[in-house]
Amino acid sequence: MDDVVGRLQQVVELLAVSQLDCVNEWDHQTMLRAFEWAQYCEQVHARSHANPALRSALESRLHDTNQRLRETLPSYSPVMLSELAQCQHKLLVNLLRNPSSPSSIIHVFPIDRITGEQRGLDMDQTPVITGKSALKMLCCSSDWTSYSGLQVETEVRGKLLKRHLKTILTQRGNENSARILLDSILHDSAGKTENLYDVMAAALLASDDDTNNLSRDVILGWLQSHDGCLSKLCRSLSPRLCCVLSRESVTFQRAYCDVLRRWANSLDYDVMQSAWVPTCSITSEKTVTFNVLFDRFRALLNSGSPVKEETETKLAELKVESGDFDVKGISVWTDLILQLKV
Amino acid sequence: MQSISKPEEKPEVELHSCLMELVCCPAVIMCNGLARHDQQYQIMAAFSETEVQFWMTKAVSWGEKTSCLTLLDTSRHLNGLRSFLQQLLQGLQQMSSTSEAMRTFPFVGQFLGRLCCNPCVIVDERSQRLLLRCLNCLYSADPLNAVERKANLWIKNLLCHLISEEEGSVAHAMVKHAGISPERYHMDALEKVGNVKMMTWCSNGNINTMSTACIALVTCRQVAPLIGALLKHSIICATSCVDEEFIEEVSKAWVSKRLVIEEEAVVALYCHNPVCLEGAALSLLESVLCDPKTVSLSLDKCVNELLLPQASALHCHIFLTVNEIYRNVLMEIDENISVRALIQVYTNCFLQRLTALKPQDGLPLSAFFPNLPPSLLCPLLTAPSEVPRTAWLDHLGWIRRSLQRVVESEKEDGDARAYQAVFDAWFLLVQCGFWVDTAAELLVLLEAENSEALLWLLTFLHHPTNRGHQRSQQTVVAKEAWVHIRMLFHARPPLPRHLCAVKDLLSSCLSRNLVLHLFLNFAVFSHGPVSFTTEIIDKVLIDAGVKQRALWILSAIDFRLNRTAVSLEDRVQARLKILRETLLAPCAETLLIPMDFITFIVARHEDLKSYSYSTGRTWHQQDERKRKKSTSSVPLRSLSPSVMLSSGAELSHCEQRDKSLFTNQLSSAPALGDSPRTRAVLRHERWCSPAGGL
Repeated sequence: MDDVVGRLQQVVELLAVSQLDCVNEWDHQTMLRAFEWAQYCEQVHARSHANPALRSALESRLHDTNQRLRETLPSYSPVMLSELAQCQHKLLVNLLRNPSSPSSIIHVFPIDRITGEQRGLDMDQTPVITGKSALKMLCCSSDWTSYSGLQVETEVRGKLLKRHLKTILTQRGNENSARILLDSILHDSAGKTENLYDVMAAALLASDDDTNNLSRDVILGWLQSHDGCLSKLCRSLSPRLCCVLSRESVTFQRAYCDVLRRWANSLDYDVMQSAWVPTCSITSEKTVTFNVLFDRFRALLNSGSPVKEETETKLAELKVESGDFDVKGISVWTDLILQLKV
Repeated sequence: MQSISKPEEKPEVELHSCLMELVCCPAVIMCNGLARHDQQYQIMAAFSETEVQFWMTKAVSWGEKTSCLTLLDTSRHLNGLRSFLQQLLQGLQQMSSTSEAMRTFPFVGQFLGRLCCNPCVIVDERSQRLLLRCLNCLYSADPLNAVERKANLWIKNLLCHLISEEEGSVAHAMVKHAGISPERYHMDALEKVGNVKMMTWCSNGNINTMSTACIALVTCRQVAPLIGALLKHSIICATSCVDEEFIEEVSKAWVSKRLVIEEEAVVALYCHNPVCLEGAALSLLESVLCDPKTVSLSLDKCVNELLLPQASALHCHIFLTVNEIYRNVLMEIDENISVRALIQVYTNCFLQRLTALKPQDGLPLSAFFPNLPPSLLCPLLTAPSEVPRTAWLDHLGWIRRSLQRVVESEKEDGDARAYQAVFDAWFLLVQCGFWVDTAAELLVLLEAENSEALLWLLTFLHHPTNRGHQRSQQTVVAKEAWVHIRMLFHARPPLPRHLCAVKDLLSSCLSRNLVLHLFLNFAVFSHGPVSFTTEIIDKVLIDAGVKQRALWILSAIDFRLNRTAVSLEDRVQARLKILRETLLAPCAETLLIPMDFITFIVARHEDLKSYSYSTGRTWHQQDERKRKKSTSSVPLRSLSPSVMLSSGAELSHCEQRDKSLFTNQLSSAPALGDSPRTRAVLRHERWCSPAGGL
């Protein structure tokens, strides 16, 4: 066990080295060995990723290694456990991106089959190239959306994410690993979070035989525990999609209502304009306008039983909590209810 | 400490600036060796300015927007693009260095870069390979100057872009943390695309776009589920508008075995596309005629691989179409043992599939054999395995009586309709050849008094009419042959008298098939030691052509015994194997392939293609209409108006459906002779009445 973990650490170091200038010293044999080690690493991952004990041992060693490497190499980006499943690919990408890599790296491609085989490298990249372009082509060739209003590509990626989470969660005790995975995804798609939230929504909606909905709960729990994540997700998703999600999951419905409540509470009544306007003071969250709130509640009320009834009850409760006024301009809930004609 | 190299972003963007630099780079000018100037000029001259301009404009416009029209345009130009790339590759291969390549083909970098970034192009396997090979040519193992170093970097970035997603994108994050290899990820994703698309199709009915997008993806293994879904959709939804070019591309890939899709989708394809169905039926014919050695060993496998029996059992019109094709072929070459074996095996596989269907899914047998009386269908379509062994003789007697009634009516009437009836009955007997094989098996151990009916059946199969086939005369020959063969296998060592007689009979053009059929059944089922049998075979079957025909007959016997639930003794199994080996032993003579017929098939293939382009109608629809109109047999609608046979007989397409397809264009009765032309004419004459046509 220790041996395996130790070797894994070496492979992670190897991946870091493959990004350095010193690879120009690699001869063909060295490169060959590097790919062999990467392959070994993939095999270890395949056998151990579902086992909670092994997983946590690997994760903790990875964490230490990442930290050490980051101290030595400032621009190093950490390697996560799930990435070990594609070690060879990662090594190849690193070497291709590295201007110092030896020129024989090109032989990994099936350009000249005979040369490639003679040199002992047989990593046919055709399926990856074809698969990637086929997916791109099919998803881009039309602007179709599925019934939930999501792009086909998003929906597919969401389904695959959910499946991966489900695989991790089949073993008890892997919940933390699942959360680490979501953290990494968030970290790596920085700047394109809108797309990420769509994928998360697709994962929440993905229907399979996951009877206890563990993966859905983990995603929702993760969204709630990350400051602002749920709120950003709700803002990024359309009112209709949020309703679809509310119908699918009571947990989401409650969380969504809570987000709406916080949005509403951040509005102030401007007497001069006779309207509810966002205040910039309360939190770092961007607030939404009264009309956005109105649209979202209206969508909830239009989405049928039991979401409709529950929303009505919730609105009535909030109205009572805020003083149970019946005139406009005092409580945002009263005004919402009046405008929604509940 | 060494610094980590920064990943280079967006190779496609960088490439344009990079290449512009490369073209104008002083290093290029510096190393411009004037000595090679003439050669470069020659190579470049192979590329016309307009051609380069044309493909460059295409590459630019395809890259700008991914719309349905762009997709269609790309897939339509892929063939041309491939040849241009091939030409370019050859040009690049002649270059001594990348610098020189850059000078000779200043457009190459931008051109390749744009194409590599176009998913519709790169997804095409052949284009992808050509592009990668071009890049390989531009890559310098030992870069000598700045240009070559820069070109190497650019190529590495481009390759990286081909295999990975853009960093920082959600797609990149999702693939990176998928916990599986990128190859698996894309494969799974493509499978899911199929499911998602299927759910959304019926609501927005945009099948056409999807099928257009799939034209270039037809042979892409990962897209197979989606291709299958599209094909199935075309039969589920009446309003479906699957792109015709897509169907065309799928058909081509399926018949040439470059496609792996599920059975249901293939059946849908056959229903939707008559050209594909005919292509499949003809490809079987081509293989039995052109590659007999391999095919005769696994004929049923070849037939089942193309899923024709399965599709035929589910859709009557498919069976009728395939049958019609084989009928017409058999009318032309009714002596050809391999075509007969194919028809027999196909029909057998079809009957097995039909029996396996649930009663509510299958049509009654009479729907599949519309022109035949129940008195014939009933005994012939019963499998020998369903009849107790002891009742075989009676059953064969019943078959013989039923057939004889049809034959007798021919004598009385002598008109076209009677000939048609005889041909139909004979064709059914060819289809159900297993009963004639059963008769031949029984003849091995039978006494003389019971042999008459069985010998008649055997004679009828090989000599159905008295016009050219000489049935009456051959009935006598059959009896004589049977006596000689019996004696040959009984006495040991073989008596020279019978040996000579059998050899003589086998060398006769007219009776050889009948005699061979009988002879081989004795070889398989007689009780003498196998060494004795092989000794006889070595002495009797010398000619390569005869050996090949013998292999076909053995393959039909083997199929009947192995695949039709008749219990097969180990002894017979072993004998079959040894006999086959004896026949397959090397022989100096070359095999004769009926070249004229293959030319005919190939010509038909071309005609079928042009037919489908010009009409655009589907077989399926036509057949539905036809079935409402009448239940008579389906003619080969897509046959060209006239097909010239190299043997000289002209066939013309008959427009009227209830008439035969072929009419005899020959006015004078041919003299008997042995030239190929005369034989072709004779063959034709046998099935045509003097009045002109069946």
